[in-house]
Amino acid sequence: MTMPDSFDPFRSDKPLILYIDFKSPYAYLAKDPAYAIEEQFGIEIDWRPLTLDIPSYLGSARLDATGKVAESNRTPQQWSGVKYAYRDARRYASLRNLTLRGTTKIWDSSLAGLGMEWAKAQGRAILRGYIDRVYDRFWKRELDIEDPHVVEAVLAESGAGLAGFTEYCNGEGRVRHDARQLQIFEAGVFGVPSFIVDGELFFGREHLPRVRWLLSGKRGAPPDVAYRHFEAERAL
Amino acid sequence: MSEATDETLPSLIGDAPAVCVDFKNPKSYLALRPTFALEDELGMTFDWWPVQVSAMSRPQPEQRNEDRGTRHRRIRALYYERDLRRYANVYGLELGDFYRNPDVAVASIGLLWVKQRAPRSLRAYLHAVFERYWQERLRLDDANAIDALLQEIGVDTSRFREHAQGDGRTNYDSLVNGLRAAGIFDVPAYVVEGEIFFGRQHLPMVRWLLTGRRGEPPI
Repeated sequence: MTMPDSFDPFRSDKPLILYIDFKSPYAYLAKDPAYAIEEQFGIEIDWRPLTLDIPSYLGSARLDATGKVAESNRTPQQWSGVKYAYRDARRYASLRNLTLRGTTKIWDSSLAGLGMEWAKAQGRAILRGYIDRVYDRFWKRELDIEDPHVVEAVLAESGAGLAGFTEYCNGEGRVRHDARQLQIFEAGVFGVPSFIVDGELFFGREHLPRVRWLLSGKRGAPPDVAYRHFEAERAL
Repeated sequence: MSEATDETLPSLIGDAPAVCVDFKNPKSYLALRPTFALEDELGMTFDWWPVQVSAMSRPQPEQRNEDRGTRHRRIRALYYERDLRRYANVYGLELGDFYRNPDVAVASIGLLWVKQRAPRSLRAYLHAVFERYWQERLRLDDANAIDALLQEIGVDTSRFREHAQGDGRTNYDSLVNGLRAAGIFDVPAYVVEGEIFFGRQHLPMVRWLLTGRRGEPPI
C-alpha cells in the first residue's frame, strides 16, 4: 500500500477537501450533503480524517451505564455548549431518520480515521461504504471504533482488501496520521466538518451554500450561511 | 424535533416566535437583514428581545510553548473573525472592533421601550443601533445618544432616561438574567415552538417550522 508523501492541509489535487471525524455528530450530518456536492459537480472530494482532541478545548466527561455523568472536568459553560450541540445535531438528524445516540465517553477515533485513509486508497465506492457504515453504526452505539478487529471487519464488508492493514496501523499509517494531525492543527484547521476550497477554510455545514458558490465559479451573488434543504442547495 | 428547552422561557418571553439579540455581538448584526427578510416573506414580525452574552474574546498573541487548548482557542477565535468579516462583505456591512465590551443595558432598554410604545419603529431602531455601533458612531452606554436616536426615528422619549435608570433597568436585568438561566447563551437566538436555535444558519428551519413543516426539511 503506497500513499502520497507530500501533504498540505490546504491543498489537494481535488477541488474540495473535507475534514471529518467519526466521533463528531456535525461531521456525520455533513456526509450526505457532501455526497450530493460530489454528484452535482461531478467531482471527487478529498476526504481526510481530523482526529479531534476534544478534552483540550471542551473538557472531558464520561457517563456511567445509566447515562449519568460519572466523571467530568467541564465548566458549566462547556456543558451548556456540549448539550446544545447534541440537541441541535439530534433534531436535524431526526428529520433525516439518522440515529444519534449520545456517546458515553470521548472516543479515540484515530483508528477509524486510519481505516478511512485505507479505504480511500482503494476507491470511492469502498470509501463511501466504509464512511456510511462507520457513521451509522457508531452513532447507534453498535461499533467500537477503537477495536482494530471491528474496523477491519467494516473495511472488509465495504469491499476493501486487508492485506497489510494491521502493519499499516501499527507503523507507517499511524506515524503519518499523527504527523498530519499536527500539521492540520498547526495550519489552522481546528474542527469538523471543515471544507477547504481554493485554500479557504469553512468550518461547518452551514457554509455549503458558499462552498457550492465557489465550486460553480462564483455565479450570482455570494450566499450567506444556511442549513438549507437539498433542493435549495442544488438550485444555487 | 421533540426535545423541549427550558420550561421558563414562555413565562419570560411568551410563545410567539422570538429573536434574541445582543447589540455588541457581530453575529446579531449579521442576522438582522436575513431575519427581516424572513419576516417580510412570512408577513409577520418576530418578538425581538435583548439579551447579554459574553463578549467575544480577543485572540491572544501566539505564545512560545502554549498548550494545545490555548492554541485551539486562539486559532478558533482568529477563524471566527475572518468568517464574520467575509460574510459581512456579503451584506456590505462595516464591522468595527469585534472585541469591545460595552454595557448594552441602555440600548437594550431602548429596544424594550420601542417594542412597548412604538412597535412600528422597531425595525428602524434595530437597524440604526446596530449600524451606528458597528460603524463605531454610537456608544451603547450613552443614554443621551440613545435618547437622541429614539427621537430621530420618531419615538417619544418622555421619561426614557429616568425609566432606563429605574424600573426599566430593574425589569431589564431580570429579563436578561432569566433568559440566560433559561439557556439563551448565544446570539442570535431564535425561539420557535419552544426550541432554541443559535445562529442565522437556522433561518431555513425557522421558516420550515413556521410554514407548517411543508416540503423537504432543512439539512
